[in-house]
Amino acid sequence: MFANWKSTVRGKTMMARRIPSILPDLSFEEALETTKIHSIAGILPKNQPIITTRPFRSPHHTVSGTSLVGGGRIPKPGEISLAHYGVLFLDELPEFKKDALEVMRGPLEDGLVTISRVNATLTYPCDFIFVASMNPCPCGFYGSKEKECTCSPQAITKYMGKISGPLLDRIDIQIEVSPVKYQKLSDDDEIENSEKIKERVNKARRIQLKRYQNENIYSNSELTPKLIEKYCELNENSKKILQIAFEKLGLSARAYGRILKVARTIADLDGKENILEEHITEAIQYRSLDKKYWKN
Amino acid sequence: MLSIVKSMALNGLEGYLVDVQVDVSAGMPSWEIVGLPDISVKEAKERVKTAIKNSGYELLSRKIIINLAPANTRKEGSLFDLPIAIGILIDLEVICKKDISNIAFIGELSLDGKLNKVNGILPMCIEAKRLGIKKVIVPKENAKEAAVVKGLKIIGVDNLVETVEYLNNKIDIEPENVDLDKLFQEVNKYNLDFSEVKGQEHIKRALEVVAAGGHNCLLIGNPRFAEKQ
Amino acid sequence: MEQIIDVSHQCYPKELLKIKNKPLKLHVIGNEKLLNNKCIAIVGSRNCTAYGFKVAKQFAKELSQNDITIVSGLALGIDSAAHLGALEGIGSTIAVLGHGFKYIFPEENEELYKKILNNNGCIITEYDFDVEPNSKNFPQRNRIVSGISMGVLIVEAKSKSGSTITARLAKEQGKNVFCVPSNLDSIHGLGTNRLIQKGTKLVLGIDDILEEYNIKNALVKDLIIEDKKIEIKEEYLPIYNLISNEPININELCKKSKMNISKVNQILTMLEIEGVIEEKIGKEFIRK
Repeated sequence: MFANWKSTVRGKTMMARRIPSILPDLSFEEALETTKIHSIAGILPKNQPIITTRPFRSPHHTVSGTSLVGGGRIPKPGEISLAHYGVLFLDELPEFKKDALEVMRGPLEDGLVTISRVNATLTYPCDFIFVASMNPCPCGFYGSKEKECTCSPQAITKYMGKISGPLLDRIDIQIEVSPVKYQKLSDDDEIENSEKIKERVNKARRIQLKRYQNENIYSNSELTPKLIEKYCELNENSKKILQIAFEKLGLSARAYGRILKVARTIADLDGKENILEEHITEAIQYRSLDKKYWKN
Repeated sequence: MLSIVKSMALNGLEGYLVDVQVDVSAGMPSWEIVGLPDISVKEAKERVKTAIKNSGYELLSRKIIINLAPANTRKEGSLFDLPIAIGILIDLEVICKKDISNIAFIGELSLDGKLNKVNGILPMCIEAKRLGIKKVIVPKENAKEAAVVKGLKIIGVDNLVETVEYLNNKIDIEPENVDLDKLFQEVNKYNLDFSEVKGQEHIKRALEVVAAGGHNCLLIGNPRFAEKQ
Repeated sequence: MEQIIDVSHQCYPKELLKIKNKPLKLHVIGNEKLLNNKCIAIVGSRNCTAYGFKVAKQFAKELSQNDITIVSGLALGIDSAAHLGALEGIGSTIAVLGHGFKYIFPEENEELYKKILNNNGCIITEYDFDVEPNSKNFPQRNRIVSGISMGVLIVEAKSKSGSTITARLAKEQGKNVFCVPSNLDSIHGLGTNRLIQKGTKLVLGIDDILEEYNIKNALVKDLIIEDKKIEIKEEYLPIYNLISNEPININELCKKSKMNISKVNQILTMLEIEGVIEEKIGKEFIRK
């Protein structure tokens, strides 16, 4: 029983840790570049001369700006570079120092970090999937059925406000993680393993690589507003659905481009060339927090 | 007398060649390192001196000047200990004079002459190979990591004495070898799997989309808490 | 713009005339006709819980839909909830300030301030234009809040808070006082629970308030009419039928419907757009 409790305790962390298991395998070149960074940081495992799986980095929230993005007297790559070609997971995002998150913003957009030195500048690559987690309120039980939330609405607003708009603008998908009760876990339905999910992911990635071969980007997440216009065209019906959704569901303006990008990915997973209604309606579900937390 | 030993250094993610030029001459005993060394490089003086002495070689009172070329970039770290020691020992004729222009030396010395692991071996070796260097002598602990670079002879050594004997052809050391294909297949397993997570179809699907499009994501939810039973 | 209404003015609230230390003049912005509407005041803790906020808003909305004007003090917490709820209803609401019109206090409520005026509401104060916000004036202001109303509803008050003072004043003025009960373990509800213990009327819904004034709740009928309108496309039914007034989690919907999760997501969005279901925190869904 205790073991079971333990495995459900950190639902968000548990899910995040499994993301690398469904990402495409590292190519040799990617592995070499990741290994280079880990070599410079001096954190290669003793018996593993080359990193062959996508890194998963989860620095604690007390991390300083320097160890997050890199630098220091003898310059070292930071956590964002150690997560290169992998996943950077920031658990309890609002607990992180505001300035630490602030310095991460630029590199998150550019995929590389530039460190200025007295007589030189260094760059480290940092192309990673950014995954963050947070509670819905300071006490953690807002909306929970198990325990009453003791936070005032102002406290909740303040807590949500700790995530700056510009950082929020770089997050495409919002997921609500609800605790699963133990009894429900014991059901023996057939469960899909990561390998199967990865096959679909690989297929979708190949479609993107082919589509963007002349655009100098590799995935839908990198689409700029201009490219969104080019590659995320909607049919009349989808446009109407999206418009109604914005009016009725109170989605924030920043959600618009995000929904299109995510719908593009869902269409790729579906193997469809054009974005259809069903892709848009599914994508809207991944922005559901906008209407509850970040209304403006 | 002047000797030149090749070594490597790091600038960001890329390695670059550093010539360690050592001149030992008669005169007022002194020791100078030039070529923009930072404190950790300057400290090499004490480490190298003691390591040479403790390895059983005699370091006579001489005037020693060391230049790290190119002299206009700042050098950091302790990885020049080994090339400096080798340069001095060549000048003192402990190591037989021979052509070492195809060999690069990287490593930090401890006071007893043992070689310590350094960071960034891989990018330095990649650059060494690009520059046509044939052989790199590295601390034993770094040898596997360096051997990832194919077409380069990697010699992993334990201490200064071993290095000297190797250069004097007294002993032979097998170049380090790593079977990359095997390594890739064996270690290419991520040890967590979504089949261990039950009943969270919604999140799994969302994360599938995350992985497929490389999207950033935010997870929000109540922390689970344990009731005292 | 601002106008001054003194005791002889026809718009001076009749209810307010009855109280002892009535203000001799009122500064008014907005729709002064509201002042003689049937009014109910809703007050409570500035630092309220999510529960209190929700309840206050709900009461305000439903009372407003029964053509009752909601009066409150434009403070944070319950006051804001009361004004917001009224705006969601028919929209007539009066905010009573404890300072001059030169200031908007608290700053967070600037938007609400504008919203009230844009929705034909009304903002009043007894203080001259440049009187600064001062906490010692706020209890004074509360006698007007209760004074222009038929009754006062208190949602969440700590013991010995401003809201319990308002309750006492209102009783002295001869007004009805109503209280919403709170959890016993919540310090925010100690004052209201104590008031209930001492005989203040406990209300479970607006009917309990309306019956005191012999007003019939106009809302019930509407709800029945709305119920008939709902028509769901057949392909959405497997999901819609699983959703009731009890929240159900998306994963459970997926399992019970035996549908693919992306299909479930699509249908949920369509049902939401059609306005028949609503999403709650934690990816839970209920009927609207």
